[in-house]
Amino acid sequence: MSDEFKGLRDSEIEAWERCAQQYQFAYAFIRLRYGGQERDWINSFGELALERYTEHRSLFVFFSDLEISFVTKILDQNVRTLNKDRAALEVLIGAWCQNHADKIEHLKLEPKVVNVPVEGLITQDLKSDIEFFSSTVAEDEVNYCELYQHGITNFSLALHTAAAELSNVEASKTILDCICALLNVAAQQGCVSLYHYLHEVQKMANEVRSEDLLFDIRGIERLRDCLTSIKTTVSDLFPNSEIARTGCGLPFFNGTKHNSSGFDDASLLSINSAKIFNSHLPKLCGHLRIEALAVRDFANVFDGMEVDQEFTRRYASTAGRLERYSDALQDLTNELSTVSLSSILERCLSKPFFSRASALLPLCCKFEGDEVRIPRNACSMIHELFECLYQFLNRFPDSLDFVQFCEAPLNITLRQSTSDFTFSIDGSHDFEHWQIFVRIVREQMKDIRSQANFIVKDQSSFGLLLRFPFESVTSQNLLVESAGERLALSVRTLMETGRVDVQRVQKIGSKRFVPFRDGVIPLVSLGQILKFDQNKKTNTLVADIENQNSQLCPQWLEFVIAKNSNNLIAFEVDSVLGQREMVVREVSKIVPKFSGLLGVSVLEDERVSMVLDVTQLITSDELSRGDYARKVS
Amino acid sequence: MLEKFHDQSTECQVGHGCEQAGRKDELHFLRFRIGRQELLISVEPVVQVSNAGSISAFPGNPRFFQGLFVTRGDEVTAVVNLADLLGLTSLKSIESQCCLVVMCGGERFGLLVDSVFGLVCYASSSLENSHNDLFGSCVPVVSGVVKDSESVLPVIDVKAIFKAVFREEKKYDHTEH
Repeated sequence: MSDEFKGLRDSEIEAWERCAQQYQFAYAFIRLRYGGQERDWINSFGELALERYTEHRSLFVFFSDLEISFVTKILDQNVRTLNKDRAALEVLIGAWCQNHADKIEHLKLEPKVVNVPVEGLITQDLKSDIEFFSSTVAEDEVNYCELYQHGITNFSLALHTAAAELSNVEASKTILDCICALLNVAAQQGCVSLYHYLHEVQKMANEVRSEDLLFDIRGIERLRDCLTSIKTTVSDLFPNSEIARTGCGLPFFNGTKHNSSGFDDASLLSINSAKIFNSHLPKLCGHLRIEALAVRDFANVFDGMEVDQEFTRRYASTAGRLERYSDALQDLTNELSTVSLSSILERCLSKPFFSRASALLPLCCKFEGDEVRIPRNACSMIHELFECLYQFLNRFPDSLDFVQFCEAPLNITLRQSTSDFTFSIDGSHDFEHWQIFVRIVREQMKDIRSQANFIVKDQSSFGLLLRFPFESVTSQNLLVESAGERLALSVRTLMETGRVDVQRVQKIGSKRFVPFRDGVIPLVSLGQILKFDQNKKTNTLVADIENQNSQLCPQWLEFVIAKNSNNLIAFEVDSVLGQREMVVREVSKIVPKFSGLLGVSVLEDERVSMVLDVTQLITSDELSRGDYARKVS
Repeated sequence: MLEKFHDQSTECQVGHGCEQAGRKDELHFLRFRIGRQELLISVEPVVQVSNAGSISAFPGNPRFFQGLFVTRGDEVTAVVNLADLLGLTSLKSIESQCCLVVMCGGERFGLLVDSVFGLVCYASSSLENSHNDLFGSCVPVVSGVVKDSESVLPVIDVKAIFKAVFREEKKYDHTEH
């Protein structure tokens, strides 16, 4: 132990422990000088410091540059009990302070003072230090890691807690000033990064709108990994093959040097933007939200305290700014989420790289289609399949010719049911190989909540049934309004829509029927079946009715006709809004189950629309008991 | 949405007994109102406060269940009508009500309330347990009351709501209704 710290250790710790107990906030300055003979002391001291920190969550430790690696090691060992973000902040701030040791020289004396006055906990010098730090960051635009930004917010929270607990208003104000300075640092850092990301993402969003960029970089990354492995395997198997010679298209992934691969500079730039988008933006979005919430909480908590109103206003302003950026990024994320896979594949097929790798395409080419558009996340599913292929080939390199396998007639057919999407792949390869392949695929698909089932058709023909979750795709739905609610009906279950003069609706008992071609079909109110509040008619409908007729009753009645096997039934709706392509989401598991409800979709006005399979409503007990449905001859 | 919460939280205050209490003895609540009744909810499970806005009704009109709405982050969240659950009468239309989005049992759902005042904290000694007979509700969702110098404020138990509404209603089917 160096002379400087001899005899200080116990009193130092005791002093700060008392401070921590008394004020629940301790500000300690600890300088470590260690050599080989002092390591034991440092270890025990580090553990003690961590213990204090964990106990009070407010022990502020400065370390020198030399000690950072050592401290980081301790922190890594204690990651479970320590907030890693906050620890990182302390290390970084400590490192900075060490570079400005002259500014904080006075702090060396503080631990010796047992009865530290409240005002002394946060000194004016510390305040000026932090402000200086803030201005330095603003001038230099230092690019600190996100962890650090997050850490500042967390540390501010700790300070905020300390400030709230102090009854001394003056001391609280000083601490609050420090928090403001720290938050400004965080906000400044966040904004510098954010502008960069915004610029890149807006560029990408424009390209998406103009359909110049239609590829998911995560897919590219995964495909690259996959192709790297395939290339290695194929090179071993067929040293003179085209794939081995051309590098399986991999030069494309390795930067602008290999622009001869067919992608122009704009495409490469777009892909780089996509990379930034996919790796940083969602995380940044989340961090912004968390920071905005934390800052908003500060403003709320301190609103009722005797502090400067300017402080509250600054918080509210910072929070508002963070929220706005977060919203903007979310909009862009949503914009990008509608890229269709079929377009992506079309685009890719025109590139020389993909034509070289076209042996892989039989697996995905049938995903193209007019009716089905697959959003970005489906890319990962396809690349899972690529990966499966690779593993399959890797395991049986001797028994199967790579090209022959990939060019074999793997017939993929797409079937859309009302509950999910199913792909079936038929092949005629060796049965044992297929079994193993299915096992690998099944394992891979667990992660994406999908299923893979092996089907034996006959001795020489086998198939693979892949079932993807319904929420992973978009589908065509008819949007209608009923009892003030907007509902989406799967178009596959509908025959046609129509309107009829209410005078022509026939009543038999309590049942109603509408004329349809050469006969009549039963008419039921969709809102009534779904038990919606029937008084919530839309304003537009009421206005329509009033314009058309001064009578109280509506002149026309709109309906959609649905068919399930042999049953036809007309569902009365308030209005038909038109056909839409929608991303269907799974309903939360906690909500009550309702037969006929396929999922939900979020409309452009941020309202939730239920996606219904009306055929299930036809067969429901209520309708069956009423014998509504007319049998189709 | 959060701006509104901020605006409404101007009444945010430190409750009685909190100044003297240590950190470990404090309880933090959100104070809100349904009809003329003011209530508290622990701030821990609350993840968001927003305007109820437009809530889409759920088919079958299940009990206590108001519908679905989109929260920040584009998540579709189920909403419970707390007034119905407690047997209280709301003084506001649903569009002008607030929604407390809470996390419980790993699931996120919303609670419809008339208005939110803001954060309050009380010493834990202020909390008295078991006052489920305060309301005419058939579902025991009040975990206790906090006695203020001016009033007695019931504390809503989010776990009890989750259990009562979602666990029991999970098997709901419109054909059984």
